[in-house]
Amino acid sequence: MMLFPCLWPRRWLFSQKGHLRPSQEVIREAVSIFTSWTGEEMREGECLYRATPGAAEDLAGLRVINLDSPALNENPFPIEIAFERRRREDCQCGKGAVYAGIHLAALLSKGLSARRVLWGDKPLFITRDYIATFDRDDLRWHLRYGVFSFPVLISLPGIIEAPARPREYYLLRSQGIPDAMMPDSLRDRYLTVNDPRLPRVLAGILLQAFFYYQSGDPFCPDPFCSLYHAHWQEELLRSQRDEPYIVCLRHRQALEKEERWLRG
Amino acid sequence: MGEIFAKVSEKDITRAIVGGFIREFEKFVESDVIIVGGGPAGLMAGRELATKGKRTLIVERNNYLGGGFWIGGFLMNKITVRHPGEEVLKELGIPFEQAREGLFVADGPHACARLIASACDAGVKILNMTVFEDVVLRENNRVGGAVVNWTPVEALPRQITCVDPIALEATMVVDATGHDASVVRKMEERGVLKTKGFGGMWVERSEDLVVEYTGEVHPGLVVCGMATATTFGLPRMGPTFGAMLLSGRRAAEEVLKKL
Ligand SMILES: [Zn+2]
Repeated sequence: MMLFPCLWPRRWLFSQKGHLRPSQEVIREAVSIFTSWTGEEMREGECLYRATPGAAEDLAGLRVINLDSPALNENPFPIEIAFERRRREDCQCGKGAVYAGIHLAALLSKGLSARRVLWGDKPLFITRDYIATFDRDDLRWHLRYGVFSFPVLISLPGIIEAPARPREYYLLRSQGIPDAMMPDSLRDRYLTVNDPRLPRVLAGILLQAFFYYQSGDPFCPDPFCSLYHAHWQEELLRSQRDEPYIVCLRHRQALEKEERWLRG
Repeated sequence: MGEIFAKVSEKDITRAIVGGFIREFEKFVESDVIIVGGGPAGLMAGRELATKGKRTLIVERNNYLGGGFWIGGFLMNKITVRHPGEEVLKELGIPFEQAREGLFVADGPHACARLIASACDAGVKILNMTVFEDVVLRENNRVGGAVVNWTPVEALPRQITCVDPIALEATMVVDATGHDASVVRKMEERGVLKTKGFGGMWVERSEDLVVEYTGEVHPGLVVCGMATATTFGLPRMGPTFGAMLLSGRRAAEEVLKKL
């Protein structure tokens, strides 16, 4: 697989509560877990934003601006385009903007063709931006940890924020309790920034991308399988563990058939 | 035993008030910059501009300045800023403590009082109890000032108070009116500008965007603070005073480029 991590170390203007563990470190650890499972070779490419022609103009237009409307940011202000240009120069994603996932994948696929990446290359774009998709059922945008298309997009903050936290969390939050004051027993039930469980969770999502490219289906209905499509943090943490197994029997056999094996 | 206070008559007091106000007001009928909104972003922008010798007027609709900066989150009188916001606190002489790495906490009243004093010391003039009503537009719809009125006038029924507003001119206008984005909205009403609304989803990390998008949205009009979020439809965020202070500073930099 080809990894395009758009997150070379830049100082954020505002540090995330506490010291930020470099995203690369998390990715590196996740990749090594993932390759130990699959033996899949991982090559690294440089930022796809930079490879994509006209990315700044297009990206500014892909920002989600209204939670309840599928309309995107059709007429970006010059400031917005200038912001995207700055980002492009610095390769500095992760400022907090939310982009339309499917449109973003379509845009970045232009960058892939500019880089002569072919279908067989299985490109994977890991970003510190937020990505969202519009849900036709409830007619709202939802944050996503991943968009499975060409390329596959994975949003690092999306892993922490897209799957919903336990209901108690929102109850306390609505009473004005800040994140830092949440009880520890509750905090164990969802991922936070710098969470030591993050690399293992990301490895499972890389595995979903892998299966997406192998079979077209990244997900598995088994709630203990790493391919489980989690909508809650608790589901995510339950599926992204080595117990009772890394993947279900069916997916284990699928890996073995290709002479890949789970060494985790 | 002598009296403590010097003897002055009622009329002397009235003359001092009226004379002082008029002398100053006359000067600020034409300013370099009018900042609409005296919250943390507006005060910070004003302080920076006045420090650079620019004639700066802040229009505030309440009788008090500082907006939400007095109170902070959960009515606990503590305000928090993330790094590098504490550098501004240090500059303003506001005592703060480190809560954890990258997160700093200060007393709301102390921080707010220092910020206001610092803006006043720098030479900012303030029209409080004054509400922004409209923009002054010049050729090619360039923003060239603000139309204002007394806040109490706005509160009374129209048929009782036909008090016309007055226009103040300025080379640049800054919208620091918070979520309302009153100046930008007025431009929208006039069909000159279109805001994106405030419909973004709640994400943990949107402070940077407020600072990044601070700038001139229309010739003569700079937007800063939470008004930036409304103008650009940025994701929602919690109380974020660091972003307000830094956005105010960025707004001042943008204004200076145009003066
Ligand atoms: Zn499975």
